Amino acid sequence: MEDYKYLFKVVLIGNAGVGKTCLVRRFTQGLFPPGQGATIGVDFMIKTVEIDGEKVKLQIWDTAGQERFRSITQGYYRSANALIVVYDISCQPTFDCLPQWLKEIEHYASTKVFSYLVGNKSDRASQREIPAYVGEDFARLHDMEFIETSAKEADNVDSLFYDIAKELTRLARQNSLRSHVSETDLSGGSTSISSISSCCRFS
Amino acid sequence: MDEKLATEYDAIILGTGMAECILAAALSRIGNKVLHLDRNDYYSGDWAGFNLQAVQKWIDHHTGLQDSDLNQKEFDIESLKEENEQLTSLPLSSNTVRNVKHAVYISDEIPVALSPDVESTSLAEIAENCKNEEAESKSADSADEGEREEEASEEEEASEEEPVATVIKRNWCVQDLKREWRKFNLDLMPKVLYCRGSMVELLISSDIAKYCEFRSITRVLTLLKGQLQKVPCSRADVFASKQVSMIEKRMLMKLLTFCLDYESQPQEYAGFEDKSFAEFLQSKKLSASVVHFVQHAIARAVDSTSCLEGLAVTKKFLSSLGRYGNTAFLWPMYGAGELPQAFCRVCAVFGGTYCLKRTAVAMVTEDQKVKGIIDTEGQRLNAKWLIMESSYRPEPERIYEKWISRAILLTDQSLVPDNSEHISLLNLPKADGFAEAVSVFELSSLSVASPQDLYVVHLSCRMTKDAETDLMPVIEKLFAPLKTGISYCNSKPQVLMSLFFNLADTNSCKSGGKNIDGVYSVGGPTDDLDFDRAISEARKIFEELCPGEEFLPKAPNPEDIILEGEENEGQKGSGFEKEEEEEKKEDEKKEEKQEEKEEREEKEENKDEE
Repeated sequence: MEDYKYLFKVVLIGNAGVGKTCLVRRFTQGLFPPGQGATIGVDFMIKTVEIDGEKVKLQIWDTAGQERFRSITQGYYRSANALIVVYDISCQPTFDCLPQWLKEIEHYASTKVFSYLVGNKSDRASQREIPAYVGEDFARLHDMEFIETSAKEADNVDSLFYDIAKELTRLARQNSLRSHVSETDLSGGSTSISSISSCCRFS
Repeated sequence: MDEKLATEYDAIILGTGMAECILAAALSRIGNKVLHLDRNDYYSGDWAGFNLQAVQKWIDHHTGLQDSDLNQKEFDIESLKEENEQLTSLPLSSNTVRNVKHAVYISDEIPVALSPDVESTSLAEIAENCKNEEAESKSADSADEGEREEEASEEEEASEEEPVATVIKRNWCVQDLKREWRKFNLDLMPKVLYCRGSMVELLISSDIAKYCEFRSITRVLTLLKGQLQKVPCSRADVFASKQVSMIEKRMLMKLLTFCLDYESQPQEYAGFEDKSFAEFLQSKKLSASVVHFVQHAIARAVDSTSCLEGLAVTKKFLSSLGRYGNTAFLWPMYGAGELPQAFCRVCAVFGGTYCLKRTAVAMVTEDQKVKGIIDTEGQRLNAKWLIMESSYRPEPERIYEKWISRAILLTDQSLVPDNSEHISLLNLPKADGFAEAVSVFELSSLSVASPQDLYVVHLSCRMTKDAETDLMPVIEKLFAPLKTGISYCNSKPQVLMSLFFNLADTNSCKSGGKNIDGVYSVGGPTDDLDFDRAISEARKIFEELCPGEEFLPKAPNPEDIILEGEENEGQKGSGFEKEEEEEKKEDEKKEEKQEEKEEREEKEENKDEE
């Protein structure tokens, strides 16, 4: 009788300004925030989608600005079920930094985390610096999925997140992935202290 | 990457240790603008934990083989200050680590002669030999003491039921360990949380718990009569324990029940307010085992620990029982170094700026009041408050009176193997022939700090000479002799790698220096078991800086936040409301589940008593 079948943690990384927050807000709220309004106080966003008739909840985490000086805390990567690595197709340096981001992932994310390479701002066709095939090749080489999106035009944004939800659901059904819910709350293996309100005392 | 930092802040914080991070989060949470810098390329300072690659880098850095990671630029520092301002230069590197010594006791690769099939044919033989030898050594031991003979024969019976459960050891080589490099999380200073200690309460009240995962410490061990045994601490444990007699059980229960409520029964410890906890226990006419359990395993009291202090720790321990798991402690998964980072995340979510590999070269002051800093990239940054970990203080002020001796060992077997994986805690009192009381953590893969089949063992004590000298007697007592080449037949765990070092307790930093308005310093890790000291230190400074403000209030639930513009889209709005309702239902469900679980546990406990 749960209101959702699976809860997955999806984590976004990539250089500052590639449109990570815009992707999340486009998907979760259908908005394209004009300007660079930093989202103070927002930790992650939630959206529940339906995959094959089952409710799947995506918890999408943003970097909280810590990517600006390449100072993301390790805990951010831990227990992520999927990673979205974003670059800006109109900005070569954001693509050149990808190997550094992958190195961080290797260090701190769990081994077989499902990852997606996203070339954002596909609406800026005239300013394009990275051809789609270059991104695609890079993704294939690093065993990642690939898609180009435009958060501004809402191009491919839903299909990106739906694809992730679909793949994670498939993996969860195969039991090759512990969904985030069971990991922290229900299995009793590890303890999530926030949800426990017990008080059975010594005497 | 070459982005400039903004120049105006409320607080600039140097160092990302526990106390600094709690302060950063608390200040940022209520709207202060925070810049948080660290000289290292990793978070958590001396509280950090490393995987095998990163620890090698740390070793190289502290043995002078590798330079620091600081991004430094050349610039004219004088041009960055006004005429009436003073500059005080600040040190760029840490001075909190000494006597780093690293050794490997296994070969780099398995010799060709021991190819897998050769190994497997000989394993059975080896196991057989081991069994015989162990039986011999046991019967030799038990000849000394009548009591032990019984135990030994009991153990043998048990081992017959499950033949060769733990005897066969894997022949580890360095390459095996390197392959698993990511699975190590080696804490410079491991810590636990008392289940009802102030860190757990803070994590819950601030909702920062959502960034962390924990596991219960599964066993508390103690060394009694030459043997490592499980400490009975809960009521069920006490009754189930074979180590204590029926009379001792009553004594222990009576004493523990009193300790839990000692404040309301001052008559029970009248006359001992100025005396030691050990003296208090002696006066209670308890058996030696009971005194040992309470003083060393529960209160972790040294002979000089005062009676009230001992009672307070005992109470903290006892009241922490039964909340999560079987012991009073929680282990932070991935190690203690994760916790400071969880607080950094909060600071960042509320607008704090983070920058590693960057620190201050100088502090700018005017009339004994802080104005800001000049950073390593030549930027002048202004702030009302400058908060720094003690090792960031000006050179003459960073002298430490107290140091901690540390050893990190990788071993191939648990100190007390049984059929399940454990996270064990052990306190060895000074009296056992050691220069100081030694704290021992043994971490199996359950801790996510160690790969499968390997154990990370942490030893720490107050420094008397240096880490290796201080801790070697413990290693000799608990482990097979440190040497290269594995002896299959040794019943004690073999040490595969060791790392010794001394860590400064920067809380012992001499106060002094000029008192500059707006400058605060906090300490790094102590030899305490938990994080509570860092919390009280951070809270104290916070209350001074922001009197009357709430300390780390809960952040709004991301699922409840309605961002601007949302009202325009009616449908979306109602979607959120629905989710909120569902969320409530979910919470209720969780509570129900928890209650069910408790009931089950209670039943089990009752069964145990019977």
